[in-house]
Amino acid sequence: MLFNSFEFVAFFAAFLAVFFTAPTRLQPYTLLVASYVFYMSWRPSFALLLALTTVVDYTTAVVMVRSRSQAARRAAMLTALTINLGILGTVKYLDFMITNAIGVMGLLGYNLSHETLGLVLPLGISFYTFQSISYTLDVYHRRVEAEHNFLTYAQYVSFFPQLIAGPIERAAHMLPQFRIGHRLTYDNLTSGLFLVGWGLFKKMCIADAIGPAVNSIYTSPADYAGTYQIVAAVLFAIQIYCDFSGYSDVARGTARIMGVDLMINFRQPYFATSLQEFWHRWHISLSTWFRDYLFIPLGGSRGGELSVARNLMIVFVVSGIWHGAAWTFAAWGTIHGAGLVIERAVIRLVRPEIWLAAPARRLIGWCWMMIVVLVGWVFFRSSSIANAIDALQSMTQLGAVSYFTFKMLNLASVEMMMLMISLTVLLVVDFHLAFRAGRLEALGCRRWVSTGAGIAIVYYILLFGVFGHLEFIYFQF
Amino acid sequence: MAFTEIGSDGPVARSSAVSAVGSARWRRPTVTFVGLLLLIWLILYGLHALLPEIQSGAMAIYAAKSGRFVKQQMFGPSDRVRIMIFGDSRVITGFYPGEFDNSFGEGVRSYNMGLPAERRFLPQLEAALAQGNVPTHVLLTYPWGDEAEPAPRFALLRDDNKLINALLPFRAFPRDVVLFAYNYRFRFAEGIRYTGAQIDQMIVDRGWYFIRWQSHFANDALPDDFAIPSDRSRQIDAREVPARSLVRDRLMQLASQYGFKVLLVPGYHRDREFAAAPATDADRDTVVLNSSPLVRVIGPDYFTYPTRFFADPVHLNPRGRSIYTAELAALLKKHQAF
Repeated sequence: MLFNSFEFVAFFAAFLAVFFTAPTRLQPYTLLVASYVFYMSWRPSFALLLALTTVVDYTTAVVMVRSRSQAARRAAMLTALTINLGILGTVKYLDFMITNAIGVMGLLGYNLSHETLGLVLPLGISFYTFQSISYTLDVYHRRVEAEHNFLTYAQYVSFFPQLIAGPIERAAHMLPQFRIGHRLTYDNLTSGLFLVGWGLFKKMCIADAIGPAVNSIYTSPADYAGTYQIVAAVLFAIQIYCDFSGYSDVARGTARIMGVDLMINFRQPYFATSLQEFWHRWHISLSTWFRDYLFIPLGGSRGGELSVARNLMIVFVVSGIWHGAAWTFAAWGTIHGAGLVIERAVIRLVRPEIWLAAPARRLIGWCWMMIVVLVGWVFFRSSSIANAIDALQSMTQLGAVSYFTFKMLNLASVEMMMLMISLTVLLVVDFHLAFRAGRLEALGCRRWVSTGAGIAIVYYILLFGVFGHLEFIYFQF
Repeated sequence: MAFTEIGSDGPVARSSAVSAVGSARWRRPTVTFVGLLLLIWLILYGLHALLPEIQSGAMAIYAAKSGRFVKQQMFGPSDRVRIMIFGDSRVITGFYPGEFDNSFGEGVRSYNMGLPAERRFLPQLEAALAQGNVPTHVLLTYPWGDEAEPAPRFALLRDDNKLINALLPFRAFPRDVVLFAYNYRFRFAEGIRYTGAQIDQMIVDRGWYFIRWQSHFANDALPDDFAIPSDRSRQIDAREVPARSLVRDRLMQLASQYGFKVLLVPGYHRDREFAAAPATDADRDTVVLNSSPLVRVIGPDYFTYPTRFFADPVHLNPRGRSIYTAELAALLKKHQAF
């Protein structure tokens, strides 16, 4: 059941009707049942793993609270981590490891038959596993109280707006929100619907409009000259931003309507003027997760530059592999890790703040950030490392472009014009959100502007959006 | 307020919020919002209904071929062989009925029933039959579809694309207006006259139509070295004839009822678009369905022509259409199809 489907609209409307008319004490049950129905709409058996993760981490926290010795707490925490990561590792990485092990054996002269388990990756498992792990670690480090109400904890793990692709929330932020009753309020409804509309605009009018062109080029990269490869890299950067931040906005909007606040996952990342800033603006819930649960435990920014560089590389390679069991994701993480290490070293050695004016620094920083990010996206989107390298190499030899090729890619005439209009709207709104939030706030206070903007979004999506159950990119992770 | 919610950690109103369902605060903005949505729907629907000439060329051809075209009296009593050829826009631009009929002489009359971006042929065939336009031969450049089961109940509700087009029948209208304004430089009256004349000419030409607005090269001919990345020059575009198909069953039912024959005939591709069809298929004349009447496949799956006979990557130019029409006529003569 995708956010961008009429099926979800019907489901959500029915859910809200039941949720807000039910007595407060029944709301948690309603929400939990709805979350599991939502999740099971993809494959009912997936719910078993979700339930198992919930039970394991809930029980572990209770055991940790009741343990008298630190060793027992530690054992409980390690057990939960082993189970969580064991499940994730098995369903997500086992086939990848088998394939690579067989490849290595082949290189050593041992030809083994190529058998994989063909496991299906349960949707959202990387997201809810990380969310659940964060709770266990927070309880272990006494950053959060253990939740004794199983129903409350189960809502935290399975909350359907953010179950499939985040934001990866924290217990300290979410559990208190599941302990109270919820009423439908005008402010929550209007602001929630606005977020949903904005998210769907990004997904259905931009990401899904670009998708076919990106898919065509990356499916057979050898057929397209360098110019098209550059176009594809730029388009994919836009597509993945609109797709993923669109999902996050819809998730926040639906949660907002229920009266639940989710964290912001994106803050106009392509306006960043350094790679470090990019990571403060992109997939914030994941980057802060890695900061808190991997980078800081590894030593963080303490110690010498070499140890910081090592920590950064570890975090970003792991982050790459978190996205998927493929070397292309590991390469993507490595590029970002290396980019951050280089950025830190250059700033430390060159000290640009001394001899370079701020606007020039920002421009150079933006160019640097975009180059690293675009190169990273080429690896992220390519089906193999070899294809990614070929694509980057071909970018150095720009060939001629033809109108008909753009037409075949659905990027000619009206389609291109609509895309340009959509991108202009996105750019203007994102620019104001990043730099002129006050002006937007003033505009939003005028009712006719809010009403007009709401109607414009609704009709823009209905008239120009792509309908047809197109999945969100991050569902595969 | 709503704008800034996109990028802020704005407070979520909790259960203590002052406004609740049914309060006066909700009523006016909700009624205004819904009222404006409906008003815009009505305006767009009205404009769409009042200005059918604005629709894109492909849609105008589609509408005319599905309506006015099949409702006319297509055949006369002297037409011994009555032919309808079906397919997508390749057929529209590639098959010229006048030239085809001339190559056979008296008593043969054909119609180009191709529809833009549409391989389904049953609705149009049934519409023609319902008007008393009964062919003796139905030529298919694409085989029937492979739908083996009837559409489930409430299928519309499962298909978001169909559903949104049903809810907003004017969905293409804003795009069409933009294209129309661009193509005719805001000279709307002239544009409407031109579209009407094009449709009239298409009907005079019995369904053939040259898609001029897609032609971007001198003399409507692609250069000899023309290629695009989606070309699959080493791949054969083999035509699959589904063994089980509801469309086939219905076609056979109609063929028995009205006594027409069904022939699967070659379409065409551009050089380099695909590899040439196997030479061994050139003389093929196979019965694919041993029903009454028989369904035959005649000739290769497709002919291949040099790029200079194409006006765009997909469609033949007027020179190319004469060559395809003549080659198809020669093939059918050779196999004594009529």
